[in-house]
Amino acid sequence: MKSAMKRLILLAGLSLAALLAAPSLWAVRVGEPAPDFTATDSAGKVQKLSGYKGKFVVLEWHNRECPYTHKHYISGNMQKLQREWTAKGVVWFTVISSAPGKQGYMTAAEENAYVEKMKAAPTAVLLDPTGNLGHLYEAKATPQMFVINPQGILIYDGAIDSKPTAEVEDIASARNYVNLALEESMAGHEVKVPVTRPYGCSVKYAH
Amino acid sequence: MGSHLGRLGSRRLTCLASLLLAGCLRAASANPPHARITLVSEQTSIQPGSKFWVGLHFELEKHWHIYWVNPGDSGEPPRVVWDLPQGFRAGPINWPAPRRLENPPLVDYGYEDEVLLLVPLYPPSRVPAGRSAELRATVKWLVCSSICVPEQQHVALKLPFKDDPPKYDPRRRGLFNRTREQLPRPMPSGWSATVLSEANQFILSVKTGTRESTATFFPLEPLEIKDAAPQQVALGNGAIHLALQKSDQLLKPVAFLSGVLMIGDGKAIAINAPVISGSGRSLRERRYRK
Repeated sequence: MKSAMKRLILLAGLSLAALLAAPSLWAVRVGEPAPDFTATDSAGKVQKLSGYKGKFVVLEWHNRECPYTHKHYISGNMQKLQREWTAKGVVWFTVISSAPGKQGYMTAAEENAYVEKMKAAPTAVLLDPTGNLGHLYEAKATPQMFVINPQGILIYDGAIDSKPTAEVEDIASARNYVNLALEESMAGHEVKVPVTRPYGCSVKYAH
Repeated sequence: MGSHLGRLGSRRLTCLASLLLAGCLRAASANPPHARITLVSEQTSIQPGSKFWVGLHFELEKHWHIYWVNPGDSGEPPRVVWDLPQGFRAGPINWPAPRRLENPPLVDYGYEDEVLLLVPLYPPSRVPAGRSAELRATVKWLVCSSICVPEQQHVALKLPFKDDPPKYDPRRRGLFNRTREQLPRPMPSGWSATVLSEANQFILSVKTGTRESTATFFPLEPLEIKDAAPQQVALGNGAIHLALQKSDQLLKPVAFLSGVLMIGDGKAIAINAPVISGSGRSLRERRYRK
């Protein structure tokens, strides 16, 4: 009896501790509204998620020097996805959360030159050197992908595809989860794979 | 500078040696690798039909790490593709317990300095007398410090077949024994583990009958718990309670929570605990319940 009581007290303590440790009220969860954000893009324009209600939005966490991101750019795969989906009215934001001095940090001019050189075609590149947007979405890896539907609900969070490697030859045989999420959702179906473990390099935050 | 060149030199020698056996993948690479691996055997010969242990010995550059089977928030575990003589079969990698690698705001699970990934090999029971076996593998891994680099290497090892009971290789025995100490062991008899699923956390309770000084849980599956969240530990008399925050990416209830529990004296215990639904079923569990 006494030990059962002790156990209860211990458990109650654990529950309280977890409440105190809760990191944010804005958990990013598939099936729930995607948190709104404001960020400046590499053209100097302020972009706001809530300004794109009614459209699908893709967020692509990016670090050009990460071998896993590099795989999707050197192969032209990412640019192809950007071109195909923006042509269908999807808004595509590439997001750079690398802090100044860390791998993948880019000034606006450097990033614009890269976009031109790689023939990348996102709607805009959001510069997030403070990591605020990355932390808001709890982005962990590059490339990590989020898909938001026209109602502003997060419908996909995870890897770009099913082959977690840095090798170009794996792209062709991989299942692309961004394509699947957009295709299924646009056809009015439920997204069958709404969450996967994002693969790649850790996002190079300041802290 | 000196050690840098020395490393490159020894690397070239390894390449030259392995060129004869299996080719050298990295010959053209400009930078020396951050991890070097060797295929080692616990014994000096193979007895036909008897399982034996080999290991992939990773030696890592200081401040660089590789990953456990569940790498945590970022990273990828090493992968091995075996090229073995006919009739041989390789078992799965036996992963030593990992360390928690703090990479704020992320937490990864992996290894620093050195690690031996143990693999059981099953040779055929009938081989021509006096023959030897050439064991080969291609190993690919991701190695990270502040940045990440994918690396790969061919490894090879030649062992003779002998009908006599095999002898342990004295140069390797210590490494294999040390590594076995770090492998998760089954729960001691008399222990039991259960998990209470609450709205935002799992509470893992392990009845041990002992008093432990610390406890850390490493989940086998990604996206079940929030890797970077501090684990709240309550060490009662004869029991360990751990509060593990649920991952935001966990959309469905889990029936069992599996992983490795590291306790005070460095023991690693394999956990496969049934999950019991607690009082506050979370909104999203309700929503996704069919």
